[in-house]
Amino acid sequence: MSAMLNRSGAGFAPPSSADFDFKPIFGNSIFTTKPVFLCFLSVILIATFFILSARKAAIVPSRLQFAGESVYGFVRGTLGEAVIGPEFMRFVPFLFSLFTFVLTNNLFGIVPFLQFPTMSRIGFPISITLCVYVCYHWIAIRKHGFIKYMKDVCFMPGIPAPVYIILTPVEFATYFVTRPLTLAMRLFANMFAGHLLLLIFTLGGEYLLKSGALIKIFSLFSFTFAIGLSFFEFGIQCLQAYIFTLLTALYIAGAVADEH
Amino acid sequence: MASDGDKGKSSLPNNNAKASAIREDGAFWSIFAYLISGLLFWGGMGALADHFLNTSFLILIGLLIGLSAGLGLIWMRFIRQ
Repeated sequence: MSAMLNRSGAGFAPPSSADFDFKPIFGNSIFTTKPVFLCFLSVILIATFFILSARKAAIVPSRLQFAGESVYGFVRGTLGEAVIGPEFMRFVPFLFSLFTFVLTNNLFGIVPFLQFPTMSRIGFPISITLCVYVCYHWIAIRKHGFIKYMKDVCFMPGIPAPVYIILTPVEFATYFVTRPLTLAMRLFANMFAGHLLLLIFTLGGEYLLKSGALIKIFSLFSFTFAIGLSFFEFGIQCLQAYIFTLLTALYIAGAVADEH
Repeated sequence: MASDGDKGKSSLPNNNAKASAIREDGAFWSIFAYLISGLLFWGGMGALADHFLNTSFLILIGLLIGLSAGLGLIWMRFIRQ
């Protein structure tokens, strides 16, 4: 493909991280860019959907109510009760908000005209990860007390004392650095890479369409690929929302567990 | 993290198999986190020591220590029980 592009003369400008920078829609503030509006839109959409689905709650559910209850039931059963255990009910609202928020913002990546996954700007994953981070440490500290929690995290029972010199820093780094880091990075990187992939095939298709007569045919393949990858992206977006919430539930489960 | 495994007594009896399957999904990422932090911490210590002592082999030793620490923790948290 690159050889073909070179032959056609004018350079193809591949999508880059610059495609993720948006100019403010109005004013001159970083708070009026497209991702911020998408984030607000997601909140409005989620709220509208669940208020509508729960407003006329009936024993024989309407289709909308059924859809809303399925999502809630999934988070409550699979991510709440099965992972956290008996105390799960306290955390269901948090998990549910996280799951729907991440899922909606991810799905914006393949919604026509919106076409940008909010989570591919690193600031959004970082801020929700901060909520999770504060949440699971706070739960654990309130349950066990600060000193006992630190002892539980850093000193695993049943190993000889000198080995602690090697293991304790690693345990500490895992709980306080690597966990939040991987949580945010995984979501960000998946959304970033997915959006870039879609950009490559659509922009490439567009470029091929503008090229010479014979090459035009190949743009068809490029666009077909872009559509196929959109379905693939749909899977990734749902999976990432699930993984993010699952890991949050696991961290909370670790925090409410009686001992480490 | 291992404590996640044994505390979740579900009110639904047939939920336990499903619950353990879900936890195995999550265990993968915990294992990943242990490996990363072991390598980063001890590899970083090795690199720092190299920098100040003007040597070049300590980072390798650091990485090996970090790898074994990570693997050791994974063994203790996930396999020994």
